[in-house]
This record gives sequence, structure tokens and C-alpha cells, in this order.
Amino acid sequence: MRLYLEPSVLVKLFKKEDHSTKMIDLIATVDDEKDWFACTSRWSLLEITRALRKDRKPKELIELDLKELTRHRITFLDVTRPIITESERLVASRDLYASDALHTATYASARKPRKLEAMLSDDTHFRRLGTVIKIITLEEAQLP
Amino acid sequence: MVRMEVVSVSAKLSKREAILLEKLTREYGFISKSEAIRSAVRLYLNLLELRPKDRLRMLQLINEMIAPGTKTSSELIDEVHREDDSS
Repeated sequence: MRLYLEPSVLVKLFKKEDHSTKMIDLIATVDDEKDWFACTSRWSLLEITRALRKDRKPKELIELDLKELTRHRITFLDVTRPIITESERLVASRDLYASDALHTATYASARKPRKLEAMLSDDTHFRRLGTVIKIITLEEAQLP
Repeated sequence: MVRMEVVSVSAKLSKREAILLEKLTREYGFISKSEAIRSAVRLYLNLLELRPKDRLRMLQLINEMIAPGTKTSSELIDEVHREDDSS
């Protein structure tokens, strides 16, 4: 399976909550299985940092969490000028948050070249984008 | 006789960290603060050398023990997005 990881599922790696163990299993699958691929925007690192800060994690732990993320086979896609332009268009036309638009535009730009099958998101996030891009939840993701 | 090669590493601690180190060195019966730090470094390096999946599991546990949050990942990310939008 080839997935774009939206930041809320990545934050799950550092919290004990519904499906957080499955998220660890999914990353382990990406690490081990050749036909699995995962990517996200480099911007996600900032959102994850802010979310962990809001969750009152100490600085040293946040730094360790971020370093851990980059030790796995997750590809971090650059925020390019065309992605910003497409994000602007999405914010103006669909009334999205800037970050949601950026992830949508990044997914759209990587979908063909990276052969992405879906964006992995939790059950509440990105539901409103269901008509624009294919969303699957951790509950729906089938691991080998 | 096996001679172990050693290197010295110095580190600056804040006053609060130095007091905590002093206290824990006493409480845990380390022979010195250096020994307490060596032990902490070994433990940390062991954690970073775990298999990737085990490392993630341990890190999740450490996050939960050190700073258990009440909000879900989804709520936290949603708040982050609302910050962008709050102006």
C-alpha cells in the first residue's frame, strides 16, 4: 500500500489512544515491506511539533520524537512553489484551513509520481475533503 | 588485563538539573554523579538502539508517562489548524 500520512495519524505514534498501536504496526510495515510506501509534507513536522507542544511534552522529548520520525522510511515532501499556489487556490475556492489545503495540494502533486493510493487520516479529520481525495482511516487500513 | 579506552565528555547543566542530579544520585545510591550520568547515557543509547518497532513502542510509553495529555491527536492537530485561522 502507498499512503500519504496526514499529521494527526503521525501524532498518534506518541500518544496512547485508539489505533495508536496499529499506527506503530503500520510504520513498522512501511519499514519492512518493499511494496509499502509512506510520505507526508515536510510541513507536517512543524504541525506535529506544535501539537506535541500543546500536549505539554517537554522540549527534549519533542526533539527525540521528531528525530525518531525521521529514522523511519517516511518520505518528507518539500513544500514547493506550485504546491503553495495550488494551496492558495484551494483555500480561496473551498474555504479550507491553510494547512489542510497544503496537505491536499501536496497529496495531489505526489499522487501520480509516487503512485499514492490514499491519504491516511483519522476518522474526524479531513472528512470534508472526502470528495476531493481518497481518504482511508487507520481502522480501514489493512496490514499484512 | 584489558585496558578500556575512555573519553571524557563535559556537559553544562542548569541549576535545577544539577540539584535533581545530586538528589537522585543520593537516592539511588550511585557512587558519584558521573556514575549516575554514565548509567543514564547507557540507558538512553540502549533505547536508541532498539529495533525500530520496539523503539516506537518505548517512545510512545515514555511520552505517555512523562506528559500524558488529555486531548486526542486529532483534537491537537485541529487546534493547530485553528491557530492558523484565528487572526
